[in-house]
Amino acid sequence: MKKRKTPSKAVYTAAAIILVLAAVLLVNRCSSGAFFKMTGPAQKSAASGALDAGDTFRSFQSIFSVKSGIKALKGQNAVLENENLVLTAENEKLKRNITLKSYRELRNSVVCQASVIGANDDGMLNYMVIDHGSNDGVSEGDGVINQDGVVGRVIKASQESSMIQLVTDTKSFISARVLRSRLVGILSGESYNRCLLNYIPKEEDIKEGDVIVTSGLGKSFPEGVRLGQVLEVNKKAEGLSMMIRVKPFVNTLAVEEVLVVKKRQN
Amino acid sequence: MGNIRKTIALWLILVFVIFLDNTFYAINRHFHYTDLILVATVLLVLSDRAVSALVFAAAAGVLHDAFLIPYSGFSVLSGVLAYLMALILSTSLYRENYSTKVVIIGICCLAKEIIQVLIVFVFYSNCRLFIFPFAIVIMKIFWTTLFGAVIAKLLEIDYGKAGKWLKLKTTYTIG
Repeated sequence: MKKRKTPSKAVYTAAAIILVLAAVLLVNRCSSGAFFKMTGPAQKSAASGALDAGDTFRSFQSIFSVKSGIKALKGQNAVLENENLVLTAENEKLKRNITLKSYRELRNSVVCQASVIGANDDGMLNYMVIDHGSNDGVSEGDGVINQDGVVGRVIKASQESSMIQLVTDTKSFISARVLRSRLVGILSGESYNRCLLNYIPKEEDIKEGDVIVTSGLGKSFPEGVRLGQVLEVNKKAEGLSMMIRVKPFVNTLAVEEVLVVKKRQN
Repeated sequence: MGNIRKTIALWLILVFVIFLDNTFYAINRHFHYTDLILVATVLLVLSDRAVSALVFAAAAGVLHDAFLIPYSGFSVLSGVLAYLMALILSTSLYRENYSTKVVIIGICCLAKEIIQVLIVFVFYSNCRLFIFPFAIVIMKIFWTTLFGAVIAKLLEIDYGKAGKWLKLKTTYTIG
Protein backbone atom coordinates (compact mmCIF):
# COMPACT_ATOMS: atom_id res chain seq x y z
CA MET A 1 0.00 0.00 0.00
CA LYS A 2 1.28 3.35 -1.03
CA LYS A 3 1.92 5.81 1.77
CA ARG A 4 0.04 9.21 1.38
CA LYS A 5 2.08 12.40 1.47
CA THR A 6 0.96 14.91 4.22
CA PRO A 7 0.92 18.65 3.29
CA SER A 8 3.40 20.87 5.00
CA LYS A 9 2.51 23.53 7.60
CA ALA A 10 3.25 26.38 5.20
CA VAL A 11 0.52 25.20 2.87
CA TYR A 12 -1.98 25.29 5.77
CA THR A 13 -0.94 28.75 6.73
CA ALA A 14 -1.20 30.11 3.16
CA ALA A 15 -4.60 28.56 2.76
CA ALA A 16 -5.84 30.04 5.97
CA ILE A 17 -4.72 33.45 4.86
CA ILE A 18 -6.42 33.09 1.48
CA LEU A 19 -9.62 31.99 3.16
CA VAL A 20 -9.64 34.87 5.55
CA LEU A 21 -9.03 37.32 2.71
CA ALA A 22 -11.74 35.78 0.66
CA ALA A 23 -14.13 35.83 3.53
CA VAL A 24 -13.41 39.50 4.13
CA LEU A 25 -13.91 40.33 0.46
CA LEU A 26 -17.12 38.35 0.43
CA VAL A 27 -18.52 39.97 3.53
CA ASN A 28 -17.60 43.45 2.21
CA ARG A 29 -19.31 42.89 -1.07
CA CYS A 30 -22.42 41.41 0.57
CA SER A 31 -22.87 44.05 3.21
CA SER A 32 -22.14 46.94 0.77
CA GLY A 33 -20.22 49.02 3.37
CA ALA A 34 -21.96 47.68 6.43
CA PHE A 35 -18.59 46.89 7.88
CA PHE A 36 -17.55 50.53 7.72
CA LYS A 37 -20.92 51.53 9.04
CA MET A 38 -20.33 49.39 12.04
CA THR A 39 -16.80 50.52 12.51
CA GLY A 40 -17.51 54.24 11.81
CA PRO A 41 -18.42 55.40 15.29
CA ALA A 42 -15.58 53.51 16.75
CA GLN A 43 -13.32 54.94 14.14
CA LYS A 44 -14.72 58.40 14.76
CA SER A 45 -14.23 58.22 18.45
CA ALA A 46 -10.85 56.77 17.93
CA ALA A 47 -10.01 59.53 15.49
CA SER A 48 -11.31 62.24 17.78
CA GLY A 49 -9.36 60.71 20.58
CA ALA A 50 -6.36 60.80 18.39
CA LEU A 51 -7.10 64.41 17.48
CA ASP A 52 -7.48 65.29 21.14
CA ALA A 53 -4.30 63.52 21.88
CA GLY A 54 -2.67 65.48 19.03
CA ASP A 55 -4.07 68.74 20.39
CA THR A 56 -2.84 67.93 23.83
CA PHE A 57 0.51 67.17 22.40
CA ARG A 58 0.49 70.38 20.44
CA SER A 59 -0.63 72.24 23.59
CA PHE A 60 2.32 70.85 25.41
CA GLN A 61 4.43 71.93 22.49
CA SER A 62 2.90 75.45 22.59
CA ILE A 63 3.34 75.62 26.36
CA PHE A 64 6.97 74.97 25.84
CA SER A 65 7.12 77.64 23.13
CA VAL A 66 5.17 80.13 25.35
CA LYS A 67 7.54 79.37 28.17
CA SER A 68 10.46 80.11 25.96
CA GLY A 69 8.65 83.31 24.77
CA ILE A 70 8.06 84.41 28.34
CA LYS A 71 11.69 83.78 29.09
CA ALA A 72 12.66 85.98 26.13
CA LEU A 73 10.16 88.69 27.16
CA LYS A 74 11.45 88.58 30.72
CA GLY A 75 14.88 89.20 29.39
CA GLN A 76 13.63 92.13 27.32
CA ASN A 77 11.65 93.43 30.31
CA ALA A 78 14.73 93.28 32.46
CA VAL A 79 16.61 95.28 29.87
CA LEU A 80 13.78 97.82 29.65
CA GLU A 81 13.55 98.01 33.44
CA ASN A 82 17.22 98.74 33.57
CA GLU A 83 16.80 101.40 30.91
CA ASN A 84 13.85 102.79 32.86
CA LEU A 85 15.92 102.91 36.02
CA VAL A 86 18.70 104.70 34.21
CA LEU A 87 16.23 107.17 32.67
CA THR A 88 14.44 107.70 36.00
CA ALA A 89 17.74 108.36 37.70
CA GLU A 90 18.67 110.75 34.93
CA ASN A 91 15.26 112.44 35.20
CA GLU A 92 15.64 112.77 38.97
CA LYS A 93 19.09 114.19 38.49
CA LEU A 94 17.77 116.72 35.98
CA LYS A 95 14.91 117.57 38.33
CA ARG A 96 17.37 118.01 41.18
CA ASN A 97 19.49 120.22 38.98
CA ILE A 98 16.48 122.32 38.07
CA THR A 99 15.40 122.52 41.71
CA LEU A 100 18.93 123.28 42.79
CA LYS A 101 19.14 125.89 40.10
CA SER A 102 15.88 127.44 41.22
CA TYR A 103 16.91 127.20 44.88
CA ARG A 104 20.28 128.73 44.05
CA GLU A 105 18.51 131.38 42.04
CA LEU A 106 16.11 131.89 44.93
CA ARG A 107 18.87 132.03 47.53
CA ASN A 108 20.79 134.55 45.47
CA SER A 109 17.75 136.69 44.93
CA VAL A 110 16.41 136.86 48.49
CA VAL A 111 16.28 140.49 49.60
CA CYS A 112 15.11 140.11 53.18
CA GLN A 113 12.90 138.24 55.59
CA ALA A 114 9.88 140.19 56.77
CA SER A 115 6.93 139.91 59.12
CA VAL A 116 3.34 140.64 58.20
CA ILE A 117 2.08 143.65 60.13
CA GLY A 118 -1.30 144.20 58.52
CA ALA A 119 -3.71 142.70 56.05
CA ASN A 120 -6.91 143.42 54.25
CA ASP A 121 -7.96 139.82 53.93
CA ASP A 122 -11.71 140.28 53.73
CA GLY A 123 -11.91 138.00 50.71
CA MET A 124 -12.45 140.82 48.23
CA LEU A 125 -9.32 142.94 48.14
CA ASN A 126 -6.40 140.79 49.17
CA TYR A 127 -3.42 142.81 50.34
CA MET A 128 -0.85 142.58 53.08
CA VAL A 129 1.65 144.92 54.64
CA ILE A 130 5.11 143.78 55.69
CA ASP A 131 7.57 145.50 57.99
CA HIS A 132 10.37 145.98 55.43
CA GLY A 133 10.51 148.71 52.82
CA SER A 134 12.79 150.43 50.35
CA ASN A 135 15.36 151.07 53.09
CA ASP A 136 15.85 147.30 53.25
CA GLY A 137 16.10 146.95 49.48
CA VAL A 138 12.49 146.06 48.76
CA SER A 139 11.16 147.52 45.54
CA GLU A 140 7.97 147.32 43.52
CA GLY A 141 7.60 144.11 41.54
CA ASP A 142 9.64 141.96 43.91
CA GLY A 143 8.20 138.52 44.59
CA VAL A 144 7.10 137.44 48.05
CA ILE A 145 7.23 133.78 49.10
CA ASN A 146 7.17 131.67 52.24
CA GLN A 147 7.88 128.03 53.04
CA ASP A 148 4.68 126.91 51.30
CA GLY A 149 5.15 128.79 48.05
CA VAL A 150 4.26 132.07 46.41
CA VAL A 151 2.49 134.61 48.64
CA GLY A 152 2.25 137.56 46.28
CA ARG A 153 4.08 140.50 44.79
CA VAL A 154 5.22 143.86 46.17
CA ILE A 155 3.12 146.62 44.61
CA LYS A 156 4.09 149.52 46.81
CA ALA A 157 7.26 150.06 48.78
CA SER A 158 7.59 152.88 51.27
CA GLN A 159 10.71 153.42 53.33
CA GLU A 160 9.75 151.25 56.27
CA SER A 161 6.97 149.03 54.98
CA SER A 162 5.68 147.48 51.78
CA MET A 163 2.30 146.50 50.45
CA ILE A 164 1.88 143.07 48.91
CA GLN A 165 -0.77 142.05 46.43
CA LEU A 166 -1.64 138.49 47.38
CA VAL A 167 -1.74 135.70 44.81
CA THR A 168 -5.49 135.38 45.44
CA ASP A 169 -6.32 138.99 44.55
CA THR A 170 -8.40 139.37 41.40
CA LYS A 171 -5.81 141.70 39.90
CA SER A 172 -2.87 139.38 40.50
CA PHE A 173 -1.46 137.65 37.40
CA ILE A 174 1.52 135.29 37.59
CA SER A 175 3.08 133.23 34.80
CA ALA A 176 2.64 129.60 35.83
CA ARG A 177 3.54 126.12 34.63
CA VAL A 178 1.88 122.74 35.17
CA LEU A 179 4.67 120.61 36.66
CA ARG A 180 3.57 117.30 35.07
CA SER A 181 2.75 118.37 31.53
CA ARG A 182 4.94 121.50 31.38
CA LEU A 183 2.05 123.58 30.07
CA VAL A 184 2.35 127.32 30.61
CA GLY A 185 -0.57 129.55 31.60
CA ILE A 186 -1.39 132.62 33.64
CA LEU A 187 -2.51 132.21 37.23
CA SER A 188 -4.94 134.90 38.31
CA GLY A 189 -6.53 135.43 41.70
CA GLU A 190 -10.15 134.59 42.28
CA SER A 191 -10.41 135.95 45.83
CA TYR A 192 -10.95 133.97 49.01
CA ASN A 193 -7.97 131.64 48.75
CA ARG A 194 -8.71 130.49 45.21
CA CYS A 195 -7.02 131.12 41.85
CA LEU A 196 -7.71 130.42 38.19
CA LEU A 197 -5.22 129.04 35.68
CA ASN A 198 -5.98 130.75 32.38
CA TYR A 199 -5.10 130.22 28.72
CA ILE A 200 -4.76 126.42 28.79
CA PRO A 201 -6.46 125.04 25.64
CA LYS A 202 -9.23 122.50 26.11
CA GLU A 203 -7.41 119.66 24.33
CA GLU A 204 -4.41 119.79 26.64
CA ASP A 205 -3.73 117.21 29.31
CA ILE A 206 -4.41 118.52 32.78
CA LYS A 207 -6.15 116.86 35.69
CA GLU A 208 -7.10 117.41 39.29
CA GLY A 209 -4.17 117.26 41.66
CA ASP A 210 -1.61 118.59 39.19
CA VAL A 211 0.92 120.86 40.82
CA ILE A 212 1.35 124.39 39.48
CA VAL A 213 4.69 126.17 39.81
CA THR A 214 6.07 129.46 38.59
CA SER A 215 7.29 129.31 35.02
CA GLY A 216 10.18 131.73 35.43
CA LEU A 217 8.94 133.65 32.39
CA GLY A 218 7.78 136.54 34.55
CA LYS A 219 10.24 138.84 36.25
CA SER A 220 9.10 138.56 39.85
CA PHE A 221 9.72 134.87 40.55
CA PRO A 222 12.39 132.35 39.58
CA GLU A 223 11.31 129.09 37.96
CA GLY A 224 9.88 126.25 40.02
CA VAL A 225 8.44 128.00 43.07
CA ARG A 226 5.27 126.24 44.17
CA LEU A 227 2.00 128.04 43.46
CA GLY A 228 -0.87 125.66 43.99
CA GLN A 229 -2.70 122.48 43.14
CA VAL A 230 -5.44 121.97 40.54
CA LEU A 231 -8.76 121.65 42.32
CA GLU A 232 -11.22 121.50 39.44
CA VAL A 233 -10.97 121.23 35.66
CA ASN A 234 -13.94 122.37 33.59
CA LYS A 235 -13.58 121.65 29.88
CA LYS A 236 -17.13 122.77 29.15
CA ALA A 237 -16.38 126.39 29.90
CA GLU A 238 -16.99 128.96 27.21
CA GLY A 239 -14.15 129.88 24.86
CA LEU A 240 -11.06 128.03 23.78
CA SER A 241 -9.56 127.61 27.21
CA MET A 242 -10.45 125.37 30.11
CA MET A 243 -11.56 126.79 33.42
CA ILE A 244 -9.02 125.46 35.89
CA ARG A 245 -9.53 126.30 39.54
CA VAL A 246 -6.40 126.19 41.67
CA LYS A 247 -5.99 126.13 45.43
CA PRO A 248 -2.84 128.00 46.43
CA PHE A 249 -0.40 126.16 48.66
CA VAL A 250 -0.13 129.28 50.78
CA ASN A 251 -3.01 129.92 53.13
CA THR A 252 -3.23 133.67 52.70
CA LEU A 253 -5.18 134.00 55.93
CA ALA A 254 -2.33 132.55 57.98
CA VAL A 255 0.87 134.08 56.63
CA GLU A 256 3.18 135.47 59.28
CA GLU A 257 6.74 135.44 57.95
CA VAL A 258 7.73 135.93 54.32
CA LEU A 259 10.81 136.19 52.14
CA VAL A 260 11.12 138.97 49.58
CA VAL A 261 12.90 137.90 46.38
CA LYS A 262 14.42 140.37 43.99
CA LYS A 263 12.78 140.73 40.60
CA ARG A 264 14.89 140.02 37.52
CA GLN A 265 16.31 143.14 35.95
CA ASN A 266 16.63 141.92 32.33
CA MET B 1 -16.57 170.56 81.48
CA GLY B 2 -17.65 167.05 82.16
CA ASN B 3 -18.90 166.69 78.63
CA ILE B 4 -15.55 167.83 77.21
CA ARG B 5 -13.73 165.25 79.29
CA LYS B 6 -16.14 162.62 78.13
CA THR B 7 -15.73 163.70 74.51
CA ILE B 8 -11.94 163.58 74.79
CA ALA B 9 -12.14 160.15 76.42
CA LEU B 10 -14.51 159.03 73.68
CA TRP B 11 -12.18 160.17 70.90
CA LEU B 12 -9.22 158.53 72.58
CA ILE B 13 -11.20 155.30 72.56
CA LEU B 14 -12.13 155.86 68.91
CA VAL B 15 -8.49 156.44 67.94
CA PHE B 16 -7.60 153.23 69.75
CA VAL B 17 -10.35 151.45 67.81
CA ILE B 18 -8.84 152.69 64.52
CA PHE B 19 -5.43 151.51 65.68
CA LEU B 20 -6.85 148.10 66.55
CA ASP B 21 -8.67 147.81 63.25
CA ASN B 22 -5.51 148.46 61.25
CA THR B 23 -3.31 146.17 63.31
CA PHE B 24 -5.65 143.29 63.97
CA TYR B 25 -3.70 140.99 61.69
CA ALA B 26 -0.49 141.62 63.56
CA ILE B 27 -2.15 141.39 66.97
CA ASN B 28 -4.39 138.43 66.43
CA ARG B 29 -5.58 137.47 62.98
CA HIS B 30 -8.50 135.47 64.39
CA PHE B 31 -10.27 138.74 65.15
CA HIS B 32 -10.30 139.91 61.56
CA TYR B 33 -13.93 138.91 61.12
CA THR B 34 -14.97 141.64 63.54
CA ASP B 35 -15.60 145.04 61.97
CA LEU B 36 -14.77 147.34 64.85
CA ILE B 37 -15.20 150.48 62.78
CA LEU B 38 -18.76 149.56 61.88
CA VAL B 39 -19.67 148.72 65.47
CA ALA B 40 -18.24 152.01 66.72
CA THR B 41 -19.98 153.99 63.97
CA VAL B 42 -23.38 152.42 64.61
CA LEU B 43 -23.06 152.86 68.35
CA LEU B 44 -22.15 156.53 67.86
CA VAL B 45 -25.20 156.97 65.65
CA LEU B 46 -27.37 155.23 68.22
CA SER B 47 -26.07 157.59 70.91
CA ASP B 48 -27.10 160.58 68.80
CA ARG B 49 -23.55 161.55 67.82
CA ALA B 50 -24.25 161.55 64.10
CA VAL B 51 -21.56 164.07 63.14
CA SER B 52 -18.92 162.37 65.27
CA ALA B 53 -19.95 159.07 63.71
CA LEU B 54 -19.56 160.46 60.20
CA VAL B 55 -16.15 161.96 61.00
CA PHE B 56 -15.06 158.72 62.62
CA ALA B 57 -16.31 156.52 59.75
CA ALA B 58 -14.64 158.70 57.12
CA ALA B 59 -11.36 159.04 59.04
CA ALA B 60 -11.17 155.32 59.77
CA GLY B 61 -11.93 154.54 56.12
CA VAL B 62 -9.24 156.91 54.86
CA LEU B 63 -6.64 155.43 57.20
CA HIS B 64 -7.66 151.85 56.33
CA ASP B 65 -7.38 152.63 52.62
CA ALA B 66 -4.05 154.37 53.09
CA PHE B 67 -2.46 151.65 55.20
CA LEU B 68 -3.84 148.39 53.93
CA ILE B 69 -5.01 148.70 50.32
CA PRO B 70 -3.73 150.72 47.38
CA TYR B 71 -7.18 151.97 46.32
CA SER B 72 -8.44 155.06 48.10
CA GLY B 73 -12.16 155.28 48.61
CA PHE B 74 -13.05 151.65 49.06
CA SER B 75 -13.34 151.67 52.85
CA VAL B 76 -14.44 155.32 52.98
CA LEU B 77 -17.33 154.76 50.60
CA SER B 78 -18.50 151.53 52.20
CA GLY B 79 -18.05 152.98 55.70
CA VAL B 80 -20.02 156.13 54.96
CA LEU B 81 -22.80 154.20 53.21
CA ALA B 82 -23.02 151.88 56.21
CA TYR B 83 -23.18 154.99 58.40
CA LEU B 84 -26.09 156.32 56.29
CA MET B 85 -27.84 152.99 56.65
CA ALA B 86 -27.40 153.19 60.44
CA LEU B 87 -28.73 156.73 60.44
CA ILE B 88 -31.82 155.78 58.42
CA LEU B 89 -32.51 152.73 60.57
CA SER B 90 -31.96 154.58 63.83
CA THR B 91 -34.43 157.28 62.83
CA SER B 92 -37.04 154.87 61.52
CA LEU B 93 -36.89 152.12 64.16
CA TYR B 94 -37.55 152.17 67.87
CA ARG B 95 -33.90 152.11 68.88
CA GLU B 96 -34.33 152.26 72.65
CA ASN B 97 -34.88 148.54 72.57
CA TYR B 98 -31.64 146.57 73.00
CA SER B 99 -32.53 143.90 70.45
CA THR B 100 -33.31 146.62 67.89
CA LYS B 101 -29.79 147.98 68.36
CA VAL B 102 -28.36 144.55 67.71
CA VAL B 103 -30.54 144.17 64.64
CA ILE B 104 -29.39 147.58 63.37
CA ILE B 105 -25.75 146.54 63.78
CA GLY B 106 -26.39 143.30 61.87
CA ILE B 107 -28.25 145.02 59.01
CA CYS B 108 -25.57 147.70 58.72
CA CYS B 109 -22.86 145.05 58.55
CA LEU B 110 -24.77 143.22 55.82
CA ALA B 111 -25.24 146.48 53.93
CA LYS B 112 -21.53 147.28 54.21
CA GLU B 113 -20.57 143.86 52.88
CA ILE B 114 -22.99 144.16 49.95
CA ILE B 115 -21.66 147.62 49.12
CA GLN B 116 -18.08 146.36 49.25
CA VAL B 117 -18.91 143.45 46.93
CA LEU B 118 -20.57 145.84 44.48
CA ILE B 119 -17.61 148.25 44.59
CA VAL B 120 -15.16 145.41 43.98
CA PHE B 121 -17.32 143.94 41.21
CA VAL B 122 -17.87 147.21 39.34
CA PHE B 123 -14.72 149.23 39.94
CA TYR B 124 -12.02 146.76 40.86
CA SER B 125 -12.45 143.56 38.92
CA ASN B 126 -14.00 145.23 35.84
CA CYS B 127 -17.26 143.33 36.23
CA ARG B 128 -15.34 140.04 36.06
CA LEU B 129 -17.11 137.31 37.97
CA PHE B 130 -15.35 135.93 41.00
CA ILE B 131 -16.34 133.70 43.86
CA PHE B 132 -18.60 135.57 46.22
CA PRO B 133 -17.06 134.99 49.62
CA PHE B 134 -20.26 133.88 51.35
CA ALA B 135 -18.39 132.22 54.19
CA ILE B 136 -16.41 135.33 55.03
CA VAL B 137 -19.44 137.61 54.75
CA ILE B 138 -21.52 135.39 57.03
CA MET B 139 -18.67 135.09 59.52
CA LYS B 140 -18.18 138.85 59.48
CA ILE B 141 -21.87 139.55 60.04
CA PHE B 142 -22.03 136.98 62.84
CA TRP B 143 -18.92 138.09 64.72
CA THR B 144 -19.51 141.80 64.18
CA THR B 145 -23.10 141.54 65.41
CA LEU B 146 -22.03 139.46 68.39
CA PHE B 147 -19.25 141.88 69.26
CA GLY B 148 -21.61 144.83 68.76
CA ALA B 149 -24.21 143.20 71.01
CA VAL B 150 -21.66 142.76 73.79
CA ILE B 151 -20.37 146.35 73.50
CA ALA B 152 -23.92 147.76 73.31
CA LYS B 153 -24.79 145.85 76.49
CA LEU B 154 -21.68 147.18 78.23
CA LEU B 155 -22.53 150.73 77.16
CA GLU B 156 -26.06 150.40 78.52
CA ILE B 157 -24.76 149.76 82.03
CA ASP B 158 -24.86 152.75 84.33
CA TYR B 159 -21.29 153.41 85.45
CA GLY B 160 -22.15 155.86 88.20
CA LYS B 161 -20.37 159.15 87.52
CA ALA B 162 -19.56 158.16 83.98
CA GLY B 163 -23.22 157.39 83.39
CA LYS B 164 -24.46 155.37 80.45
CA TRP B 165 -22.00 155.67 77.59
CA LEU B 166 -24.58 154.95 74.96
CA LYS B 167 -26.39 158.09 76.06
CA LEU B 168 -23.34 160.27 76.34
CA LYS B 169 -24.89 163.45 75.15
CA THR B 170 -27.22 165.29 77.43
CA THR B 171 -29.13 166.93 74.58
CA TYR B 172 -31.01 164.90 72.05
CA THR B 173 -29.95 166.66 68.89
CA ILE B 174 -28.07 165.31 65.92
CA GLY B 175 -24.49 166.60 66.00
